Amino acid sequence: MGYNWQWDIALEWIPWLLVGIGNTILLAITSMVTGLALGVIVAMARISGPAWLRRLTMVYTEFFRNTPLLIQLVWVFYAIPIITGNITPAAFLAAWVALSLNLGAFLGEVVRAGVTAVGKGQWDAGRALGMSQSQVYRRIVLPIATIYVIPPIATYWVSLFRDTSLASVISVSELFFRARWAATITFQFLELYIMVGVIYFLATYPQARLADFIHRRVRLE
Amino acid sequence: MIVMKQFWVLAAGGYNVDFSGVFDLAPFLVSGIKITLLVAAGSFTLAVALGLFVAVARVAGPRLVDQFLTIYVDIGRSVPDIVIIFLTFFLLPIVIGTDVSPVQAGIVALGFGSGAAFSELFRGGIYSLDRGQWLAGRAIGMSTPQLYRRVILPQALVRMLPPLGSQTISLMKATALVSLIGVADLMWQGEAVTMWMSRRFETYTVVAVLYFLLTTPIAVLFNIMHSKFRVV
Repeated sequence: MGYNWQWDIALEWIPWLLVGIGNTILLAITSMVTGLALGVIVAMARISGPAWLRRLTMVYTEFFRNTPLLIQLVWVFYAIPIITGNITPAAFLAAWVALSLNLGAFLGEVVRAGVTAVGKGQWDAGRALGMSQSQVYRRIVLPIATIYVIPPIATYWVSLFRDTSLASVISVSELFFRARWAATITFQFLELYIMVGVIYFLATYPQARLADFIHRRVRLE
Repeated sequence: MIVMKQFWVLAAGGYNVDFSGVFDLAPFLVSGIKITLLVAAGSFTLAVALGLFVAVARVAGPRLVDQFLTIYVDIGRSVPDIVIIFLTFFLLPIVIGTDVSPVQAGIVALGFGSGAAFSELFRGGIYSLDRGQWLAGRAIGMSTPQLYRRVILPQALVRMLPPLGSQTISLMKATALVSLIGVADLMWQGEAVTMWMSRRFETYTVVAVLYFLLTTPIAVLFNIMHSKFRVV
């Protein structure tokens, strides 16, 4: 253990790191909102869309589920200027788009599973009461499906919160980016990475426990 | 090598998409795939071994061991992989006192991080088994190690094959992160290619497709295993 720990230098950078948490939380919340909206659209398209749309959304889902988030972030970062005509995006915008696309693919599957998990008996009961197709959807299937999808969404929220750290690679000034920056300036790599690990743990662990709690509660219903 | 010239203009920017350069530099990407597979195989082996050990120790061991290992599992699922990788890269040489190559650090970090997730899956599989399995094993005179090796773990493993498959895919995807500590894997070689000749859009598209081709067989493989070994 021949390492000369210099915590006093590293600890001075804590305020600098904590500013980054703001961007981490902002990125997680905005990505969750758009990712969830995208997931619902994708699920609807896959359940009741025309054949070509079903095929298209399936390709989208499989591709974004089976490639690393890192490459998606980098790819979106360089693809946006090409597709939109040489507008170089802010790093945050690119990270938001990439995380939303990634999350949309996963949540699309979650929502689809939630809707299909609603038993056929519920459908028949609704139709027997004289409800129309859309009424059954609105009043029976979606409320039940919402309860089914809440626990997996909580789990994806926790992993999204951790995954925002990858946005540091395209220079979004979030928590981990700031830790790398501070480490490069001070050369206190170990101290700073331990500190950022502790901060991530303190921020994520309560959320993970909350997700566990939601899982247990919903199972009881 | 045959140079494929394919030009087309994409969208508003009038950008000429040209994949020919990427195909010319394909040998670099192939060497990256080899390193990616090496890191994936190494960290998978480590994660499964660690996961099995932690799961059995938590279920069968004393309470203190269970509480201690809970801390490990909570760290593994609360701290981002990227932080674990950087921390391991700098901490491991100090802890074990010798130089550690980026590949070794990457394998240890990913194995450590994924081991927590694997242990939770194994534990879930063990708990999902009926109590009668334990009682039956005891009744015919098995010792605890025998009971786990012959009765509990084989059944728990088969039950957990589908989630193990998706966790393995996650691990395969997470290997891309080791490029950040300088492991010359597929992602790293992709970046090297873009530094050589720019063309980032085309190169990263090809790299993404290659990663897709690496992960998809894992899902197929686990599905085959699941249908082959399933009892009920």
